[in-house]
Amino acid sequence: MRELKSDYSVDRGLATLGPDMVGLRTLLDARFLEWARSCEAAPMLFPPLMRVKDLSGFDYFRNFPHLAASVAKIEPAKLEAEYARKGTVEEIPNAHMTASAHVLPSAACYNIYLYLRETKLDEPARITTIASCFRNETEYNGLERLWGFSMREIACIGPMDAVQAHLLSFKERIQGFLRELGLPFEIKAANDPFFQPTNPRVRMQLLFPTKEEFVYGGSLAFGSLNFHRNFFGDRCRIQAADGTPAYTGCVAFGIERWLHALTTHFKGPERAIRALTGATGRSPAM
Amino acid sequence: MTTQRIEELKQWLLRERPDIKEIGLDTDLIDNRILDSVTFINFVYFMEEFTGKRISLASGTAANSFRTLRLIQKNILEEGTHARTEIGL
Repeated sequence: MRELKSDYSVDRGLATLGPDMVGLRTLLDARFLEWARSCEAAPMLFPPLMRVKDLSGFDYFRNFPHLAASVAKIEPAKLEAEYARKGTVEEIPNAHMTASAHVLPSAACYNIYLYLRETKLDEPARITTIASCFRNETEYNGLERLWGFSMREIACIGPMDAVQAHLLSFKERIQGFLRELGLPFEIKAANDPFFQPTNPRVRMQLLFPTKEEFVYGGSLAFGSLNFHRNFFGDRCRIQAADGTPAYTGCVAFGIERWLHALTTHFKGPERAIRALTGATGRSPAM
Repeated sequence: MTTQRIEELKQWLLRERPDIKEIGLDTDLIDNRILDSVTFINFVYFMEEFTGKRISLASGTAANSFRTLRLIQKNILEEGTHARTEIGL
């Protein structure tokens, strides 16, 4: 018989967390939520599927078609003959599927900008959400690179100054927290995982970086600060108080990557929980 | 002289972005997305024709010379301050 593991197991990019890891995850996300509350970010949960049409409005399929995991139904005509009377089903062939109008989200914050579509913000808006996100990858590696993972994001939408202040305040807060915790890290300028390296947006990101990552162990990005300028404000017709397209920026936490970094550094979930409980994570300025 | 040339550059930008009413000397052309990933490249080509110089964007420092009209004036239009000759894109 198999022995159940109390920490976690991963099979082809899909993770199962046991009670110890769930305990650590709960504590960690409570900390992120506390940070979100301290900047008055409204907590929200969005649908688990995204419309292809909505993402297309963000040029998603031009820039990140390789990430998308699409969701489709089995053709009604095939249900009885091919499935209801069959035994084991290993996979569902393409020919049996309906066209897909939905995909699994690859980031949590798209829904925040869609939610604010065609609104005018008299004050900057701050919203936090958590989502199960999916990214097709060529290979997966433990909790470090998963097909399905959890992402907590805290976004700010409003004038450029407010968005930049939001990102800077989180940069300082996260750095202070990691130092207090004793988790070694670096901050690196980064790019989004574009499909084509020749895409003009890749070059633009290289010339004018808009993304910084918190990196553990030299290469594992477990958090990021993202400045989108007024791209989402423009595409979603979100207006700042002066009537111009709102700016957006978000701080993102890859939960399973935090779990990996914490349990690796502190040698197991129990010690990681003790370390996390001891660190206050309170920024002196807030 | 460079003031007139800056005005010409500004007019080029305003033609590209008819939705924008005014561009100040210190307006960040990138963060305000007056130049995006496509118009930025066109702008660099336009600048090369405009100045008769080849413009390198091989380093972030060089690219940052394009952030505002004042920086373009100082780093690219004023003589003797732009010595790079290769295209870095």
